[in-house]
Amino acid sequence: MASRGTFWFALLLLCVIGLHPLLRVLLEATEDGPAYLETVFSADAWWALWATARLAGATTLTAVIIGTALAWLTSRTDLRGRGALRTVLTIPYIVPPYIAAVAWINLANPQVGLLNTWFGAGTVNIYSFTGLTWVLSLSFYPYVFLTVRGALENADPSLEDAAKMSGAGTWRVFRDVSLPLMTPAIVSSGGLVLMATVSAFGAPALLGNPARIEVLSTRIYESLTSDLDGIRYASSLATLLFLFALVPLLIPTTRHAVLTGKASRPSLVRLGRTRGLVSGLVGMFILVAVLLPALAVCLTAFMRIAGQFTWANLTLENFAVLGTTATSTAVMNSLALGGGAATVSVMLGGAIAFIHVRGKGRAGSLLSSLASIPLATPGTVLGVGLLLAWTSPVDLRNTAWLLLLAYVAKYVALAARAIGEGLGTIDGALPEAARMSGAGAWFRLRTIWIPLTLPSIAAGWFLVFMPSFSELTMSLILVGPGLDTIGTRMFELQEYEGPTAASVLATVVLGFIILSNVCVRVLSRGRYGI
Amino acid sequence: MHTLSLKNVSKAYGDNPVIRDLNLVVEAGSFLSLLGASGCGKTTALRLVAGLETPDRGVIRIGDRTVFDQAGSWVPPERRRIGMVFQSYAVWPHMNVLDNVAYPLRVNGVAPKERRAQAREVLSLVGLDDLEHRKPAQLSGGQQQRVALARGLIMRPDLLLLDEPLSNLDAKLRIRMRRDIRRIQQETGFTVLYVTHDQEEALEISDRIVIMEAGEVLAIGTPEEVRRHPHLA
Repeated sequence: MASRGTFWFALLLLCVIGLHPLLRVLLEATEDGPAYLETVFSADAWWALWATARLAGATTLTAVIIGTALAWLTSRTDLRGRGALRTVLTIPYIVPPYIAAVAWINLANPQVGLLNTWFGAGTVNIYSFTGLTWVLSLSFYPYVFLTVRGALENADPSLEDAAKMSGAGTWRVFRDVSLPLMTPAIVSSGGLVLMATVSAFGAPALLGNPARIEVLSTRIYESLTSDLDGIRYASSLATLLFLFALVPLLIPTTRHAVLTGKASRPSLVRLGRTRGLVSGLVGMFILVAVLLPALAVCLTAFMRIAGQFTWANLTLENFAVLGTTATSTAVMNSLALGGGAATVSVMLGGAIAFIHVRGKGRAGSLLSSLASIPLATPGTVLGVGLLLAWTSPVDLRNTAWLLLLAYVAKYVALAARAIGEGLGTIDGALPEAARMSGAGAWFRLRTIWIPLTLPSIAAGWFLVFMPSFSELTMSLILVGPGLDTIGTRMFELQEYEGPTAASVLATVVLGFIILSNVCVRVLSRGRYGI
Repeated sequence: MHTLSLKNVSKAYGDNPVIRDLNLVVEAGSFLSLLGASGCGKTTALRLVAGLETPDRGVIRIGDRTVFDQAGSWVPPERRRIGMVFQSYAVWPHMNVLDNVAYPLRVNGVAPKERRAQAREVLSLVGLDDLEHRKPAQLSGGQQQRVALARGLIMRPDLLLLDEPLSNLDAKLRIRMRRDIRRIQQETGFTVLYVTHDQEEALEISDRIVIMEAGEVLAIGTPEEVRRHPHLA
């Protein structure tokens, strides 16, 4: 079988680019046992761990409440404009959290934030634990929103109707039927938010540093850059991040067998007199969570001095930053690396998907699981691992190749998933008919498989391109001088030159992301993208 | 035109035997139907002949070629020179009618002009003269069926396999199609192995009928013989 060779090749590649770096982190951390224990039981480590746990707890709770409420309101009630709301409420899903952080700094910097210049200095301060929780919650609630809404849409509405016919009021139906139906989705998406929060680096770095909040991810980066022996210390802290991956496993979940079923149209809960009020509240939320930050980034990009919204203060001069070599190189680097990573991921992910979907065996699901491990691993950990793995015997440090490897390792699972779903919809008789026509494996691949899965392949390409293009965490850890990406360049501008130049780059990133998202949406006929 | 023979062919999925010691001969140029209820193993038998499944034991020969035996000789389906018509038609949605039908020629490196000429010829044989530029989505079920049949015929294969080709058509069309299939078979003289669960269909179309149950042959006979022993089917 031709696919056996492909299987071993894919397995080898996944192990080398994805798993080996993670193993290296563990080995590096624990090589000197006593020193390792001393590090992880030090006050420094425990403060970072405590801050991370607090942040993760607060963010997960906030995101779960926002996401669940919005999911229920948009799929089970007669809220105004439900269709449009679904799309608008998903927008934060595609915006990298560090861009959201830049936006909120523009809005709520205690001195020059737009909100503070409008409502008086010191009204809101984004450089705080609450501020950081707020920004991350707004970035991550769509995980909950999308998952819970999916569960509600798949749940048989007659279950809720039966409760209504039994005399239960809206609240009782929600508590006794809807909520239990949503629980597995809430728990699993809450786990995702938790992992996303502990993995987050850009927002905690930008918002936490001024407030002296140090979480594990920012401590790892800091010790890499400041200490001579930093990489061992960073690896030791990284093992603590692994702890959080265990938390979702500890929460017991009950799966409801009734979750599937021939879904009839749900009879909507009438909000009645509160309809106007609830619609207004949701509108306010969209204004604050989606529109204001987007506006703040775009406006600041046109401001001479950040925070002063007057006609005289508006200018195009900031866009000159795009003409500087440092910035234009960074944009070109990100375009090339994003495109390269997407292309490689589509090929490797395509092979994995093919073996998984068509091979039927355990080999395929093994590959898929292996591919998603780096995706679930915090960028700081993977970054440290890649640094360790590619020093010797092959030294790729300070080369673009290392970034390419990093992006492929982390995002190949996204391509595999998209292509796998495309392959799954193909009637098995189509390639068989080609086979009976005398077509060999390569000929079938070229004339049947690829043409039929082309939309999924293209969607997979953009799904990898988007996060690679705007990737920050691993890029910061791995790049050397002269090899800036758009993420690292924006980070530098925000930290050392001020918000106006950074906002120009943020606007560019937002533009590319929206464009890519439209491509994904069209190519996948609405299955991916928003 | 070749004789197809299966000797002691067995196939199991895990512990579940689907074909048990199947012995079968389809004489060159004859039309044989495998008749039986769903789950009796008739489609599996067809797919074993096609090479889309591999037997656990036994020997399969097409003409003087051994396409499978236990000793390890196995000819992959794409080199068995068998035409096949699938139950779901399997007409490729991204190619038009002509490209679908000409595909086997394309695989074999036939020049485009020659491909088109041959494809038109076989399209007119199945009664689809004017639709060559249509996409499958613009065709009715019966028309897609004819495209699949034309594609199966175009290589003038040693053997033609049909897997419940008429089960997705309405009753009237079914009767017309099966007469057309029989006519084409008699004109061209192909060896045909035909799978169906419809007794009437098998009786009208076949030279010989094999009645299968639980992976084994229950009875073999001409339509006349089967008619005389209705309890068999």
